[in-house]
Amino acid sequence: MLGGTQPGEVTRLLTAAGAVDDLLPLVYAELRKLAQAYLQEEDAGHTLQATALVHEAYLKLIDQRTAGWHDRQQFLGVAAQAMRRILVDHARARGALKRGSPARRLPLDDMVDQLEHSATDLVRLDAALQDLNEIAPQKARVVELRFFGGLSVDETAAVLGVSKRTVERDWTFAKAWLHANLSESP
Amino acid sequence: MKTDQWDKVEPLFHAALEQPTAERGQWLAGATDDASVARQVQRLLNEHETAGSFMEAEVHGAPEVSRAAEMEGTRIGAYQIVRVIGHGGMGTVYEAVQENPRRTVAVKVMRMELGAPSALRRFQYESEVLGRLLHPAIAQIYEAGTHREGALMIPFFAMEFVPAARTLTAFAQAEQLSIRQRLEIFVKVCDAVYHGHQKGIIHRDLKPANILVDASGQPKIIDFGVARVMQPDVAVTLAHSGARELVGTLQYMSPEQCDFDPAALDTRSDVYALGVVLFELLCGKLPYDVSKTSLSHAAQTIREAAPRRLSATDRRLRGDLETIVLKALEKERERRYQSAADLARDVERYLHNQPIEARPASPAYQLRKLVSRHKPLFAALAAMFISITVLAATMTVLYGRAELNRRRAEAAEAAKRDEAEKANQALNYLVGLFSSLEPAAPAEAVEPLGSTFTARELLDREARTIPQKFKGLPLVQATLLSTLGSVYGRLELFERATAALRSALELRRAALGPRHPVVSDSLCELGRALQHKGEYAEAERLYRQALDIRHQAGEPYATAGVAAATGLLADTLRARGDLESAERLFREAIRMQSGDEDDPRNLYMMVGLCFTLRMEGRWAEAEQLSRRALAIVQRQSGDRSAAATDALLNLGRVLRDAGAYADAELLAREALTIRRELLGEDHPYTARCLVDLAGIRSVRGNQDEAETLYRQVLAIFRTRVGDDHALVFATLQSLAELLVARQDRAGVDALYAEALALQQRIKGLPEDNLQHSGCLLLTGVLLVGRDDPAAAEPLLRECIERRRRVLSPDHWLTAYAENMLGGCLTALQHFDEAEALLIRSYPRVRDTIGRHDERALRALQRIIDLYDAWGRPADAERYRALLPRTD
Repeated sequence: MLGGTQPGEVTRLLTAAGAVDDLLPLVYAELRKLAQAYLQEEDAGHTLQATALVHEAYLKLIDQRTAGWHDRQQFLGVAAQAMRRILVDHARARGALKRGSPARRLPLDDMVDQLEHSATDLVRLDAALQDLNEIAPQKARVVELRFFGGLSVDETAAVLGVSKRTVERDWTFAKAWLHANLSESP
Repeated sequence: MKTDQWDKVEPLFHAALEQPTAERGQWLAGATDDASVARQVQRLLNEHETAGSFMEAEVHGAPEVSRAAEMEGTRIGAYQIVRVIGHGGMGTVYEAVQENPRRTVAVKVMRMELGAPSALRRFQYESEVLGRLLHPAIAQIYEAGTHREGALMIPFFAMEFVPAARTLTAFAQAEQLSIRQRLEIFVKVCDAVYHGHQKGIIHRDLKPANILVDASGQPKIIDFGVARVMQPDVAVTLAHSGARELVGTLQYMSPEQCDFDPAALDTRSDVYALGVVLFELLCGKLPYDVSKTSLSHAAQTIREAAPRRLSATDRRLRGDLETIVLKALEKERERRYQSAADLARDVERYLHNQPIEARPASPAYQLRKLVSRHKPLFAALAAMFISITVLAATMTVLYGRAELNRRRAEAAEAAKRDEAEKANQALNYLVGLFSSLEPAAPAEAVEPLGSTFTARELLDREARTIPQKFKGLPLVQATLLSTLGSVYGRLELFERATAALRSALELRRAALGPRHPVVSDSLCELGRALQHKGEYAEAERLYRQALDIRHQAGEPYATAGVAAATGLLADTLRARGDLESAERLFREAIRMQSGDEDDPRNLYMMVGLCFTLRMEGRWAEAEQLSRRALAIVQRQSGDRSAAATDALLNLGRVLRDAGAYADAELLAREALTIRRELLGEDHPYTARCLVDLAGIRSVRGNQDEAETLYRQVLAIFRTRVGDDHALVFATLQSLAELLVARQDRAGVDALYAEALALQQRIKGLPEDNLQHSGCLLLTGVLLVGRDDPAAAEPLLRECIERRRRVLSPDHWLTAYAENMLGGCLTALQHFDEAEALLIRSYPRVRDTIGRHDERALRALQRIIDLYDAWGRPADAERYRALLPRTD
């Protein structure tokens, strides 16, 4: 189990060139664990949000003494990717069980609901995003960071190393494009 | 949709968006000939317009500014929205009008929805509690309600509107308030916070942005307890604020809040935040500069680092105000003001020129905090602590105190840059360590001590990284090297000490020019290190250079500087045996300083002069001077202070050398009693008194008791500083000599076995450590005691060789080893060489540690033994006459 991941380890992976791929499973596990923890807070009175999870995972996983801004950005990038996987996986699994009545709702249900409230089916969105990635990878990345990772425009710009304006333009364009593609096919 | 020709589609899409919505189609037709491209762009434009809040829910999780503006003119509950006042981490604040009663209110619409019914119930309950807060300095909450936005239940608060509101800090700055006026407003704020606390409500988010001041100067705290209602845990705080915003809030968060444990919060967390607000209100800066760091690094800083000094930003703020702020900012809640009212009362006391209740943290406490913050260094520091404690002669320490101040000032000067700030911290760390150790023992000759491995390693590492870490900052480098040098010196790593101090000197010369006062300080530092090493001639040369610079420096530097350098020069001359010049210079230095009887530097000259007189055998004058020094110290630090014990021991040694053993013993016992009270039974300081006592008991003929005392001391040192510390060697040496003199063969054999074991254990220590020669000396003495002088001889010769190299030929410890060899050669009947060694070394030992020091008396005894063995009774008699009569 990856539950015992040490902050130092993640930080080391961040700093090691090309270790981002190794990092993803760790972050993924931590995010799931955090989401799980929300089960204990039934009366929390708020909806779990990706931003909260990602930032909290950052606090937990990163050795703050050695991590700098750069590490943080890289981490946010990875975390957004992990969040996307978690949410899409969950939406997919839920779709498969649609007829069953779950004994209790999971915290991820709320998140998926909230996202689908604004953006239709996450599984389809994910597929469309993969298409977008083929044609315009940076735009797909902006969507991943902003929509799934909950990053602000500033944070997204920092992660990608582009200007805020570029992020805004990519975001507007990608939204229109995705909206078009999602309203097309069933 | 299929999209190709992105390179054309995308720019057109963005350009079209710049056009008014209605004209986009027409604009597009004129912008491109390519029908396919135009179609694709048009499709995307349509999608854009119909997308609405597509994908926006999670991204913003709250109304954005644009949406907030759209609210204008609409209603929320009973309130007509007029305009946006501001946006915060938790929501958007509007100016709004209430119909009945007709009044302007502020409406804060939260950035969240209330999902579960239980959450709604709690919101209602908690906001009811907030409504009970009635205080002129708290913006009253009129109503808390929910506003339906589509399917969402959005909570809002309606509260007192503060006209022409400015934040506390902005108000103080714009109105150019005096410190007094700022404090007066601050007291009102504290009282309001206290009112909230009495109603059971913690603010949780106190910061200038939440403390408004209206046009009349009346403060109004807003958002009291709102954080609690809205944010049951930290994840939500994080969710609703950007990282930058959060760091801004973090500045005011107490260490326990930084731990993100909501349960750990109490009213004292607000007291902490008030401390930060006061800090900022007074100097415009924050106690921790975390603006450029990552979120969690900021949190760690707040949890662990020491706040910056208020007085470093503005000299006027030193003293009581700084003490008050520091107390509010204590990391442990138990050490803070226990309520906002306590804080307010202390500020008022300050305003009324009454003594404040807060006390600066004691040096001991600061040291403890320091150590606990740097656990890995603990062992090393503990060892340094001991060495310094026992080693430091008055000379070094009293003069050092003035030096420390100078160094702090120097560092503060350099602290204009970021790296310098770091250097300053590192420096304060070391300097702070020393200042918390004072007062150290005066009037003590340098004892045979050494370093510990770990401390040396630590320092070596520091020394290596300094040039790299503070590249381009020569003065910072120099300051750190100076500090390092003095630490090395105190650990008796003289080579390293002089190397570091030489580097510091060169850096300063290059940066400031050869005749800058700071260069003269640097010369003195190096001179002292050389003097400790026994290189008197070189030390004298440096002191004279320093004096020369100081003579020409302007006031106010000249007088104090010349006096200090004169004192140092005098002490070197004393050590070289030029007592006449030493005495003249000491008196001159005292005259220069005598404007202030209590001047600590004066004390230093007095003790130096006292040494000189003692060496000249002018006991009465030495005693008189020691008594005066004792009186000054007692007046300054109190009768039962640590400083007073140092002066007591000093006087005791003068009396001992004068032959007044009974009085000397009394004084040693008095010092012992005080130190036991202050420091405890088994403190190394306390043990040091036992050493003095053992010496006197032994000289007075009570060797049983002396042995018991030495064994007691040995046990203390072993548990407190470790088995192979130099202090242990020194004590073993005294014990060994005592056992040999008593011809206690069993005791000698047991100790010999121990010495052999020690020899094995210290093998790993670096060559230049004094422990090596100490161990050789010990083994040699024990071998002589075992009637095997032939085996002892090579060991003692090697010991002398090492000491000549590591210290200097002139050092009294070298002389002491020569004296031992003399004794050994007597046993081997090599009388000629023995005589030369003994006659030469005895005065050196006697003059440094005092004629009636046990060890000096043994050195004398060895001369007598030589002449007895040699069959020269007249010579023996001549020296025997010098022995004290035991009373």
